[in-house]
Amino acid sequence: MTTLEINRKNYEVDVASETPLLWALRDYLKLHGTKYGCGIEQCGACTVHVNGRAVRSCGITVGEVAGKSITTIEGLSADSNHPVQQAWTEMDVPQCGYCQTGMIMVTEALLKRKPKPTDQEIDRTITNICRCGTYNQVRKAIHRAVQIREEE
Amino acid sequence: MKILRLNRRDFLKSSALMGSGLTLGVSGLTKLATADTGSALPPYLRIAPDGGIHLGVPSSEMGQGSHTGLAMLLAEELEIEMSQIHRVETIHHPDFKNAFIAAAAPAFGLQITGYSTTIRTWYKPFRKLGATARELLISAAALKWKVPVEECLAKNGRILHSKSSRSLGYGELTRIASRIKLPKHPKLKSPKQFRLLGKSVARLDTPAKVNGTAVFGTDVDLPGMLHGTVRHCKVFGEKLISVDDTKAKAVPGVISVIPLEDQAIVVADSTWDALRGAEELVLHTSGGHKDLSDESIFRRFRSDLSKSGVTAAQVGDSSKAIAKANKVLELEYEMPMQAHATMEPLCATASVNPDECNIWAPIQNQDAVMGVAMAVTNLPPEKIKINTTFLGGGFGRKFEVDFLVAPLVASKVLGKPVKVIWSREEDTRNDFFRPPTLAKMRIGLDSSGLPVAWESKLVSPSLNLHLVKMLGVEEAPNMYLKNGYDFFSVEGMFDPFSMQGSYEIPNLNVNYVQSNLPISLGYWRSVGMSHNIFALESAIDEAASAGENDPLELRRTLLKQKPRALKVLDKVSELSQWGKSIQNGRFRGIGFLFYHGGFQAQVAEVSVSNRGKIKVHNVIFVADCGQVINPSLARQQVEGSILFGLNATLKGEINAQNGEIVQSNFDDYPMIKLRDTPNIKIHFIESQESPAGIGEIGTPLIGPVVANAVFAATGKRVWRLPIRRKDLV
Repeated sequence: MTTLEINRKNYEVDVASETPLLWALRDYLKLHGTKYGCGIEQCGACTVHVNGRAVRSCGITVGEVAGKSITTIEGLSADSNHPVQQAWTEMDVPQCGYCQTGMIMVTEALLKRKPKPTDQEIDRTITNICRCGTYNQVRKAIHRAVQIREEE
Repeated sequence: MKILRLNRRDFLKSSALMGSGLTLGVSGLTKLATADTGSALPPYLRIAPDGGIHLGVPSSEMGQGSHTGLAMLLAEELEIEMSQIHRVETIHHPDFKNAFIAAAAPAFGLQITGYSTTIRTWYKPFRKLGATARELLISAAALKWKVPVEECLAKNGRILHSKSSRSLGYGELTRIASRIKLPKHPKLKSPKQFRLLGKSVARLDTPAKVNGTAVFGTDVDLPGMLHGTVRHCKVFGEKLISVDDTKAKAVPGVISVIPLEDQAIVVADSTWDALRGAEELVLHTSGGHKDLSDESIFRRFRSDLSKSGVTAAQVGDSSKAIAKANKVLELEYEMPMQAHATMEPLCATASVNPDECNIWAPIQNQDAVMGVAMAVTNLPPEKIKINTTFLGGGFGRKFEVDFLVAPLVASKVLGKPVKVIWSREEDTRNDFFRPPTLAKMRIGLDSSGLPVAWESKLVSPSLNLHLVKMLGVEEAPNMYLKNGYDFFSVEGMFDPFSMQGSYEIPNLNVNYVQSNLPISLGYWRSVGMSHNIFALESAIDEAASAGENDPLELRRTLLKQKPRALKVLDKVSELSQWGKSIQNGRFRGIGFLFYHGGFQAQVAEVSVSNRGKIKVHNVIFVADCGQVINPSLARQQVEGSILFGLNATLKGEINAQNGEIVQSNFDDYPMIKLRDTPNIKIHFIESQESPAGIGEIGTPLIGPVVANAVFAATGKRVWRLPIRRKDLV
């Protein structure tokens, strides 16, 4: 049994400590908003926050995150009103949507570190893969999220 | 369940299904000679007592916005706001055959989401459905109030009678409406009356996609469900003899290993356990084409160039004209394989018991899934229910049905629901790839550099052979596949459809040599256009430079009889400042395309470093696609389809070596990322023509457009995509 703090709640999970966090979230805790895309930390569809930093959850084990504070898309806001989610909705970003929860999570972690990122900083940080090609809208939505945060 | 057929020809009305609401269905829209799957008639359009609309639609939602687009068509005519649409779901139903494809090939007229056909197929039927419901509700209100129908008006989900200042919500009228005879010829609104069509209405699926609640195929969860994965034989055509599963079964959580013909299923308590179990399997195999490689494939294709092939298009006398030509170009273009690489790996969930079968899966081809389910379960269609989840990308991969087999078999064997998810590696290696192709052109130019003769010899495997096999249709529709001809292999290269909007060249000959391979090949966003337009638009550009003509002017000359095409070229010229000075180090390339009923031109601004690194800075896209239903959705499709094509222009490719696929994941099959994405400027010409298909719109053209810009930058022609640095330095 490992205790995980996810979205400000404690969960007891009965999985081997070397299980990737991704699969503990998806198959044991039924938090399906975090997606499996590649399993080798290439695509970012599984991005969550561990102690406030963006982490690709396929590449980190349950043992490594025990005792740390984990946030998934389900814990980002109570009613989808987080500034990044608002910006995503306003800019009509998602197409198929499969990668977007990861995009939103990595964006929020970026904005925490850099409240007003430049395009170069966005290019460097947002390395998630979107096969539908939403990138230009992602960029616009990040800039829009900055504005929404400033207004709030 | 009783279903009442009131008016067989136009509409179905079900009294049993509607409860206290009103249910209408589209029917008789297509008169297809396809087998009735016999599944229970679902409500397509249900108006709940609270006025909320539940809509069943034929098309899968794979990111292209089909749910929103179809709901808009209905909402426009029904006079409701989009917020009144409470639920849209893809429903498997015999009435939902793809009439657009059926018109060309009845045997292929199945419930299919693909070939950019959703709006083209359902534009009228879904408006008619909305108009019928609207007229019915007006009649119901008139009856209740005992006033003439003409005095009643539908607005915002209510029927109004202004004379007496009375109004009733749709939900309050459904009981009366369900007893009224359906209008035979419901009146559609004129475009001038449109409130929604043509507007950037927000997607209905966005809220669920930004908070993580959207259910994709991977997210299906049933009580008592087991988790599985698959491991395929690695070599093309290899078969399993036996599986050593000792080590796999020693992995905690692994429950069962089930061998099939060319793959083994591992079922476990969790996906992670199944994935680890699959790694521990030892597969004993036989057969397979171990000598197959890109090198051997293209060697064979080159020798196939000398075969006689079949004539796909002929105008005038090309060999005579080439003999008299002022200048003759001989050009050769090759394309390697590409994978679909949907972000959501292949997955499906099945729950099979002796009495029924339920499937939840991200699919583009519901009827073929039914066929697989019937074959595995031996159940009749009425005992099989297919539920289409959101697709985490489709692009043609989820048109195939191979990934349904494992969950169906595993659930049948184990007697529990099973969800099977493929690893990214299995997904990449076992794709139905875009086929490898080779095209050879001979182009004769006259003294002013105009192409007066054009010969194309195309060598590629047949995709329709695979389709015929998958669908189990008795005979192939002639126009798609006959005597060695295959429509998708010649698509775009002066085929009968594309010729309506393409270049006029007085002497043409297109010849196709079918060269099949024992590799799974399939429909990759834009299908045959993907390779043929690369060859055609690169060759036109080459003809322009050989004849000392401007590439845009040459295209204009060859399209002078086609005013919609000229308008597009003029606009792209203006927006790209074609021929005008450009930032130092940047160069422009252009291309033109007539596709799915729409005219399109693109210009790319590109720079190439000394070391051959290509940067695409800007893409200018102009199209006349007829009426644009939702500019925001159209913008998404243009950007997405351009980047899909750009990926195959600048990034990875799929190769065969020693009978295996070389690549397996995003580390060796790289994808375009945000930092690689050019600015994309989009302009749609105002048009009242009927809507064109836009789901694949930009994919085939961006490749040659970038290649033409690279030529402008470096003087080097591109003969093969993706462009490799070594080709430029």
